[in-house]
Amino acid sequence: MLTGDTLFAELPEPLLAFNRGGEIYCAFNLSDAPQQFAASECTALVSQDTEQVGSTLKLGPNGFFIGRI
Amino acid sequence: MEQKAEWWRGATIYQIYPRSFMDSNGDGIGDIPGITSRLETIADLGVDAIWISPIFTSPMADMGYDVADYRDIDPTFGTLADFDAMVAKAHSLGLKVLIDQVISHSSNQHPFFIESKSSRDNPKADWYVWADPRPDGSAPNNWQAIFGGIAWEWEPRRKQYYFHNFLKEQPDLNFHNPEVQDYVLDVLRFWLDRGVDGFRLDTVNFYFHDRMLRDDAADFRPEARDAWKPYDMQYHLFSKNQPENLVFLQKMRAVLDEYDDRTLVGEVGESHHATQMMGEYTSENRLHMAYSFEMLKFDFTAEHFRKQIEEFFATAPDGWPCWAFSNHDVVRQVSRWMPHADGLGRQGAQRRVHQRHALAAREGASTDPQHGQPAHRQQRARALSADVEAAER
Repeated sequence: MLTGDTLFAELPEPLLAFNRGGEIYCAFNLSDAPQQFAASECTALVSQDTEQVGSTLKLGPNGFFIGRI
Repeated sequence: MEQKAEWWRGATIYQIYPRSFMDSNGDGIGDIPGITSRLETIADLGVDAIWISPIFTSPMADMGYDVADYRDIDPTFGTLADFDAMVAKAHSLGLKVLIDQVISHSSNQHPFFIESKSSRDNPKADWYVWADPRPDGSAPNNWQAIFGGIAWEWEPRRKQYYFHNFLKEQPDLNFHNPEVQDYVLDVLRFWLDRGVDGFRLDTVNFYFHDRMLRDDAADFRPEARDAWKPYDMQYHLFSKNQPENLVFLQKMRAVLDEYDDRTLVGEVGESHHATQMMGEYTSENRLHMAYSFEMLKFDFTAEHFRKQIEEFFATAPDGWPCWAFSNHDVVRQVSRWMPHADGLGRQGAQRRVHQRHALAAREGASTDPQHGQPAHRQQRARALSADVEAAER
């Protein structure tokens, strides 16, 4: 959490996603509508209203996902 | 030891606004013993530090952001003994204590200003920013006050104007005067010696003004034409943001480094270059952290958040941001983000708050999001950060 560069993923609004230090992947749905998109598979650490289906990450309204790459 | 010395990296800082936080003596105004009585509750939230808004002697023209004695406590809030007891209790609970330092300006009731305005040749004559009128009697330049009106007030005894970035009751100290700098640094030592763990520096980019008093420019941005106060129609090239500040911040840092494990977090009030300035101010042995108003706005897009984060680290790869999402200067974040939560109502807005705390925790930043929010919300926000930290271990 305290070290490493932040690398943002190229995703359309309302999605914000980045990886931190090549170890932690974070994705945020900044809208009140469900979103889904392709994301690298990783181990969930903490999340809110999230579903992982293979390489698809589904984020519910205001959902977020934080996982270990 | 290295990790301990940098406790502030990634810290969650809980802001306390003393006036409204907890009233221990029934006079209707919050006070320091009230804060002390609730420190266990704050510690239970899992925060790392508290930041206490001004508690110093003040006529309260600007709710304590107008200090009349930098080394004493206003009777409204208690005594120095109350303060010492509060710091001791906080430390016993593992909480660091940051206090506000409002040094860009003093109160007009401060003895220094009363002396300074009395003549042009008294010992404090050059401690504030004095300037002659123009030949027609008008103010020396076009600088505007943030709280409205021009930034200059006439003093008949000196037949000069004095400069105030904020209220006329808040004259700006003259940081070009080395005596002022030394005084301020000694004030920091006074509180560090009492055991505080650091300072939140009010209006940290306002310390210096342009010595030549050059006019600020018109703001070139289209929205400036529609501003509701003249201050926001100007591009403040000269009334603040001066390069001399970069050197003075290093002097402040050197004082902090005389002590173990202390920290400086600066408030950058700037609309043009705030994020880059945060980077400059937290590089090269200046401040430990800085925050601006960029994350305190109503903006709520991925592009906005990404832009701030990328700009900061482009300017200052070794700097450290303190992303502030809420404080006493702005509408609370649940209210700000409510419009984005149609269909989910207030619960949806609160979910956004949880999301933002998770973002700050992940982004490599410190955060001070929790001014006066109901406790259950704070607990939820912190629990998210704690969950991640536990999961990572």
